[in-house]
Parts: sequence; C-alpha cells; structure tokens
Amino acid sequence: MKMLIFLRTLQIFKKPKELFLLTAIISAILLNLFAEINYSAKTLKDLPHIDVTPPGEPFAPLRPFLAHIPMAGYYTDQSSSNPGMDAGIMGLFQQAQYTLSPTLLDFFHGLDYEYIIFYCSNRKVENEKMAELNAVPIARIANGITLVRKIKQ
Amino acid sequence: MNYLFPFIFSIVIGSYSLIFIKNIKRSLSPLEFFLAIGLGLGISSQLVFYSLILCNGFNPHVVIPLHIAALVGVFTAASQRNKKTVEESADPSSFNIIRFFIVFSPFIIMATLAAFSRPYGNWDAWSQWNLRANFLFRAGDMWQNIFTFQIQEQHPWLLPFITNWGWALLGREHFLTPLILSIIFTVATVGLLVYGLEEKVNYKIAVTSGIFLFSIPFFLIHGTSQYADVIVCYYLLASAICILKSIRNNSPTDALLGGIFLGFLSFTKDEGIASATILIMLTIGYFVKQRMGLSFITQITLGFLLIAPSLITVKLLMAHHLPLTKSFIFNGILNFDRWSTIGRFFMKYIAPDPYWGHFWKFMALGILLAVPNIVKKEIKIVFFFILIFLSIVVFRFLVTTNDLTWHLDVSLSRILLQLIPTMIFMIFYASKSDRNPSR
Repeated sequence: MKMLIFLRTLQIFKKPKELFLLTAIISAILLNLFAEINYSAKTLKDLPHIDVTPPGEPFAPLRPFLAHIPMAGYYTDQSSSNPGMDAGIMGLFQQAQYTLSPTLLDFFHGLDYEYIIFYCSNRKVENEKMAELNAVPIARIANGITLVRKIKQ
Repeated sequence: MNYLFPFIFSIVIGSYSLIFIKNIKRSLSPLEFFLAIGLGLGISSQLVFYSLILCNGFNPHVVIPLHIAALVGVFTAASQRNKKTVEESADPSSFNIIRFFIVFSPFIIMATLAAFSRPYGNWDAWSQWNLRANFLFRAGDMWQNIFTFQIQEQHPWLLPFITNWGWALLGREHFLTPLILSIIFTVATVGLLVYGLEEKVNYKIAVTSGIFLFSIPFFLIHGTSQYADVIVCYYLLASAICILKSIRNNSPTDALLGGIFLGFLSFTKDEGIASATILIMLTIGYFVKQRMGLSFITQITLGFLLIAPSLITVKLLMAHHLPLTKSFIFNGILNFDRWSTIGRFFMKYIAPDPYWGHFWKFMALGILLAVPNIVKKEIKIVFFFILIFLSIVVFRFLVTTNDLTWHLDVSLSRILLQLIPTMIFMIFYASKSDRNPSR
C-alpha cells in the first residue's frame, strides 16, 4: 500500500506543471471564496431592507402630463463646474429619464423646449426662471419638482 | 415561474435550432444545452428586432406569435431532418448536468443573493440598458427617437431586446426579468466553461476551472448587475468553443454555429463588434493556412451574416459618431501621460484587489506555464485574439474624447471582465496534452 502511494506521488511529480497549476488554482479559489462568502453574508443580512422602489419614482406623477410628448427639457439650479460629469446632478436627471421614458429629456439644451421639468432648490428661484421664460406651472410635486409649459407669444 | 417562462421558451427554440443545425438525433449533451441557452435568447433578440421593423414599434401581439412560429418552424425542420439520419448515442459526460447544478448550487445561491441585493441592477444597468428596454416597451411608433437623441452610449441592442421579449409575455415591465436574465447568463457562462473544457481535459479539472471562475467576486457581483458584459463573456466563450471544436473535429457545422455566436457577440456591445471582427479574421486565416476547405470559411461567414442585418440596421439608425480627427489620434498616441495613466489603471486591476480576488496572479502563472502550448495548434487563435483585443482597447483609451481617468475608471474593469472566462478556458485548454487528434 505504502509503495503504491509512493509510486503515485512520483507520478504526480512527473508532471510538475500540472501540479503547480493545480496548487495555484486551489489556493486562489480558497482565498477568493473567503472574500465571496463575506460579501454574501453581508448581502444576506441586508436583504430584508432592500428597497424595490424603481429609480426616479418621485418623478412618476409627471407621467400622465407628458404622455405623447416626445421631447421635453430638464432644468436644475444646482451648480457645478462640469454638470455633465457631476454624479449628483446627472444621477437625478437619469432617474427622471428612466421614469418618464419614452419622453426624451434634454439636459444640455433644456430651456429650448415647450415642456420643461424644473428641479429647483426653492420656489423663489423657480418663479424667477418661469417669469424669465414666460412659462406657467402645469404640475407641482414634492421635492422641488415642477413641470412647466412655455406660453407661446 | 411567469418571469422565467419567456426564457424557457427561448431555450426550447435554441435547443431545436441546435438539433436542426447539428443534425442531432439524441438528447442534448450538457455542452449543447448551455449553447442552446445563448442561441435561443439570441434568436429571441432577433425576433424582437424584426417585429420592431415590421410593426414600426414594439408590439407584444406580434412578438409572441413570431416566437410560436419560430418554435413550430425549428421543431418541424429538426424532425424532418432527423428522419433521414441514423440514431447516434451522445458522448457520455462524466459530469452530468444534475451534478453540475448540485456542485455549483452554493455559487448559484450566492449569485442570486447578489442579484437580489440590487433589484434594478447597478447604476449604468438601469440608466443605460434597462432604460432602453423600457423606452422600447413604452414608445410605440416613437421608438426610433432614441436613436436620434444622444442620451447614452450607442451600443447594440441584444440585451434590451431580450428584456422586451420577457416583458411581452408577462404583459408588463418588471424588474425580475432583467434580474433573472443576468443570473441565467452568469450560470450559463460557467456551464460553458466547464463543459467546453471537459471535451479536452479531465472533468475534475474542468469543474475546478468553473469553481475558480465563479469564485472571482468581481465576476459574481458584476455578472449579476444586469450589465451586458456577462453576455459578452458568454458569447465570446461560446464562439471560441465552437471555433475550436470545428477545427478539432473537422466539423463545418460547428463553424456555422461559431459564426452565429460571433453575430450575437457583435450585437451585444461595441466591444463585441471588435472581438467578433478579430476572431473571425484570425479563424479564417487559420482555416486558409491549414487548408481546411472553403466550406469552413463559408459556414462561419454565413453564420455571422445571419445576424449582421440587425446589427447594421441598428448601427445605421444611430446618430452618434465618435468625433475623432487625425490630429487627435496622433496627439493621443504620442502623449506619454496617457500611456502612463493607462498603465497605472491596468496595474491597479492586476494588483490584488478585493473584487478581482487572486485572478490575475493565477493568470500570470497559468500563462507562464502554458506558454509553449498556447502558441501551438488551434488555441493560438484565442491567444492572439486576446493580444490584439487588448491592443485595440489601449488604442481606444489613448484616443478617447472623454476624460481619460473617468473613462478608464468606468470601463476598463468591465472590458477585462469580458475576457476572464475565455482566458481561463485558454489556460486550461493549453495546459493539457490533447486527447483527440488535432491539426
């Protein structure tokens, strides 16, 4: 029996490459599993608190007003040196886009459209901008979100 | 079950298509089963595309009958073809599919947990991929608007089309559809790796390679994030397996299947277009060099061309083009800072990382050990593909019009992920001497 085991061991060492590769992969699997099990344990703990609300749900009440409107503008008074790369600003815009699709929202030329979604920090800024654009509110919802429509002159 | 039914339907279509293409008169082998998953889901994406063109908008009342007609069509064609052939027995697999699901069940549970921890997927998943799906589902005849307006990167549409098929049968949008799809493709990629290798190496080694792939935290987490990258992983590996099989078994039908998977690969993401182009060129070069006959070249090209019309149409509809100029390209290539930033990012992912685990250490060792075999025989197609693809990725970053650091940060890890299963496959494939005669 001992002889058999010895011979088998010798056979393995005839293929050092395979043995080396096998040892490496088993070590890698064990180390990886440690990280993966930790991640899964954390996920399992958080699972009862997972929020299944769709992204951009606060914008959902605007949907009926924008039905059959192919394009609308988006305006926010949040300032940034590079708004197109600002996760805070673009994040909210993308949530609005996700919820209000198939109406396409334009962030960069938002004020050029007849219908515009305003996301302003306060009512004063919103009113000033509406006066400047000669626009009226169509729907006001919580969190500073308002749909306005420009009055044609 | 309702959420799963559209995908089961697609897999049945895929199975009968495979039976028809390969003229199989027996139950599918495990490898064929995992190939049928991608084939069926890819066919569903094509049916959704043609229904869009036919009806000028997404219409479930057309998509569902189209799927039923496709199933009846492939079932009849497969039955008719099988009547003319002699029954054959399946190659016995040492590791049957039930054992696969038992051994991998802890990983499948972890993948399911990871998927449910982000029901709408990661940020780009819902803001890019699922947004397109819900746009198509809601837009009616306004569906082409999304192509004329630059709200996102303009990748091809395989993933949103499959999601739409899931919603068509369900009758409404639901977050479980793309979530289940991500789990299916993640598990199917591992299945492909295991059974693709099992034809070449000992099944225990093949299973170990599958466990290794599933143990990489980044693969598990990103695969279930509802991005298209895991689908690229799947189709890239499926194409490589079919191409290598066609060479090893001298089988033109496997070349046809390889061509079809290359078509689906190119219809998944822009990186897929680059991968498919490189692979098809290298494979045709190999066929010519080995004098394998015109039928191989014809079959792989035909397979690819079956999917090409949808890709060409979708790409032509897209208004967005890269604003590249000659001077911009030269400035990018000659800019040392760009090279050093790209190098730094590559090192960042290759160095030990909690998400990548110990993948790169193993890969470096594996490549070193397998080098003599990697550049020999048919597997060199995969090796040279990886080299050329990575060179194109570096070039793409050198000439990017976006902020380079941002671009690397958001996309390099995803691109590397797409290569992982194929790289593991290559290492193990090359590490063993051949069981069967090969060219």
